[in-house]
Amino acid sequence: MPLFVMCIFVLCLFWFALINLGKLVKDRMMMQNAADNAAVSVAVMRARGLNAMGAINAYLGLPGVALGGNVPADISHVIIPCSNHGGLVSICNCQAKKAETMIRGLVRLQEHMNMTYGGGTTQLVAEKVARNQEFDFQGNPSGADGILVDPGAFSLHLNRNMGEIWYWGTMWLNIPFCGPELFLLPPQVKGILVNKKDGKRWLEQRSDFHKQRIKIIAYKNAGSDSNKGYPFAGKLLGLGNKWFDTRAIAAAAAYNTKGAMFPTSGDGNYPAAALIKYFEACTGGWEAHLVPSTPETRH
Amino acid sequence: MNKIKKESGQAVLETFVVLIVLIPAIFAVIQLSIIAFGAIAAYDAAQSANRSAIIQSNDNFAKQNAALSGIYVMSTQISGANNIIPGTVDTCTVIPAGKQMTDHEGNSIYAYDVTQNYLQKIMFSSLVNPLPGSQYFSGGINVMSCSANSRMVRSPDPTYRTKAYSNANPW
Repeated sequence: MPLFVMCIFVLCLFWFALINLGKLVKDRMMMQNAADNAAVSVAVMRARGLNAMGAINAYLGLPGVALGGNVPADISHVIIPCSNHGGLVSICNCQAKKAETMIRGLVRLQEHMNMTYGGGTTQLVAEKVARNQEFDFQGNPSGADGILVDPGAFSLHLNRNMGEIWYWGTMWLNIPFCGPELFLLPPQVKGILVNKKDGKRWLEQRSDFHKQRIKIIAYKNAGSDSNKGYPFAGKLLGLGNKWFDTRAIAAAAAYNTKGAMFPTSGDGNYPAAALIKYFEACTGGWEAHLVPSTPETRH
Repeated sequence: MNKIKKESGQAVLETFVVLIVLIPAIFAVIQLSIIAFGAIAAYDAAQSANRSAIIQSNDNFAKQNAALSGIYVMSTQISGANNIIPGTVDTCTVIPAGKQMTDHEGNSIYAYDVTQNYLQKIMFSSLVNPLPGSQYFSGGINVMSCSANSRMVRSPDPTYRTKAYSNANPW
């Protein structure tokens, strides 16, 4: 009988050790997947944001109907003539108002997209992906406890170009026997003048725009709910009640094989820069992939 | 008196019979535990090796780094255990799901298939299988050739693993 008990005891020790080792290695593999998937999710969100905002930027870079007619560089001219409203002299800025409304709307749309894709929503997605990497038998997430990133890591590294915007007004002279004549009126006469402080124009690269890589550390602490009960038979194995913290690192980046898609602040001195930069890069488009987290580790 | 005499060897006999069954069973369980541990460590090593391979800029670097990562992880996992011997790491390029696929730019999508080989020492192999010649548990050879496999799609564009676009500074 004592021999039997001793044999069973040794046998159980092996099983317990195997259960603990299995859990440890499984967690390590799961955490690496959590970090990889969270990093790729962030890079995909970033790529989507840049592609969508790039297309809007292209419109904002159109000369004449949008802000790309910037001559001199710090004044954008929007020239959409109003239709002839009749009478001897027809002075109007209704098209200027419409253009201003639309351009303001597009700028606001870009700002909201920037907040969504370059901030909180992306962080929530990354955290959720890492947490939902695994589920326990009750259906609760038992993946990573959370993620760690550098401050400002989710930013899309874009700035708003500011400058005066002149929405030109229109004057029609309907002189009998001579036919209607169109004259454009500067906003100082009729139209809308937006000063430089409020004149939000296209998006351009910030100085750190090239830093499109995001590093994510997924962590699972020893005291995590999903670690409850581990180490299995810890006292018997001499491990005590302390389980292990698990960390995994991964990096992913957005990349575009054709170019940056957004002008630099220097490019913005030239008319239609935002439009040209978009068409240079739109065939490639922003994409996402895993990259080495540091050159040294090559991991 | 006669009755006692007749039962005098019964306990020894019963113990002997039980031990004949129990001891091999215990060693079999221990052996299976060690094999399972080896397999777990090897799968971890294969995954780490593959994870390292998919972000390298070319196939040669992928093979080199996969080999280093695999051996490193395997060695650290089994440190102290001399019944698992890390072997080679084989890395080859495969087409995922057996179907040639391309991304939107027309580049082929490849995966790396990484195999972590290792040798598993077997206790009392001649007892488990006394017949020589079979691949596993062969009577005269007390090692088992094992492997663990991992497959991942590699990052698509090596040019852009250190920068975001063509004329960009590195990260």
